[in-house]
Amino acid sequence: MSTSAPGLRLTDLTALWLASVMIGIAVSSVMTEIDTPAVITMLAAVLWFSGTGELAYAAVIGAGGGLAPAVVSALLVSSRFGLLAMSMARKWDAPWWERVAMGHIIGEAQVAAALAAGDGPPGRRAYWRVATAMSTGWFVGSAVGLALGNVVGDPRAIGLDALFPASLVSVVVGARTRRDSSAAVALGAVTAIALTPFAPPGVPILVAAGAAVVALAFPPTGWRRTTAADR
Amino acid sequence: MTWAGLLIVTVGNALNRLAGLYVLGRLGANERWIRPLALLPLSIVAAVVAMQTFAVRQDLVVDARSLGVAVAGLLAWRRVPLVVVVVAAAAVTALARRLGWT
Repeated sequence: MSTSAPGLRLTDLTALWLASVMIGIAVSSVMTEIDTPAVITMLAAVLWFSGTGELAYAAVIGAGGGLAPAVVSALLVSSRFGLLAMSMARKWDAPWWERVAMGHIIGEAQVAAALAAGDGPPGRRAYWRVATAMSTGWFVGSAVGLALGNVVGDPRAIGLDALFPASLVSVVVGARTRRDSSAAVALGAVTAIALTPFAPPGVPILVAAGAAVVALAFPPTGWRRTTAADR
Repeated sequence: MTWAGLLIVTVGNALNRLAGLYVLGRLGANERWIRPLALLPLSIVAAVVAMQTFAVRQDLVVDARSLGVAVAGLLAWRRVPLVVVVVAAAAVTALARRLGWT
């Protein structure tokens, strides 16, 4: 699959690491705002490995919701990681403990890097390099946010909310070279946006994942008109 | 967050990922599933990016952050290094907010 994912240069990995640190700090401060004990926030960062899941939980509690809707919301928002794990399951041979670890610290950036690098050892290496940057940054950021409080001030004032989508946007624009990947990206984005006002948090992304099935109807070729020589 | 919330979501998340790896993941051994399994993450990434660009909870907006991510998209299209893309996105978003855009 010709997707240009977050690269594997040290500067790229550093950028992902720093973005993760910033996001960790911001998420920890949101958890502190809903009066979560620091030890629980840190355990959630490590055991859930889902910043969006934590934010979804906090959104329900912050709006006066109870435990059950908060849990359901966090699980729904994190459910995409099961689908991402499914897509990575057979990409390379690995012992069970590596597979479990890979599934635990899964995220969009590392999956995109593995896809771009290809099957086998190159995909495996790409996955672990990006996953290491993302996870260590996330743990450090979460801990810093708890230890020092909100050192970055208002996350919105310095544009932190743009970091995560910006770190993945190269995957989206990289998909444009092929018809089926372009369709998967366009249909996924449109479906999620169309459902956002109506469906509970997390559901739009699950339904958007189904766009990949529709994208199968598009040929796995470039946009250039195919000639006899291409077939 | 309470201990109960922490534990329930921890178990649910683990089961979800293990199911993805070991139950649904078996499909990957079948040649027919290789292409859908490669397209699936693209749809998910696009959905996540779209929502984190245009959604605030369940409201759709075009705000300073949307502008920042759009600039990031243009830079990524031009194959600018990721570190520049990410810093530019935050800088444009912050600047737009300072100029009074939400």
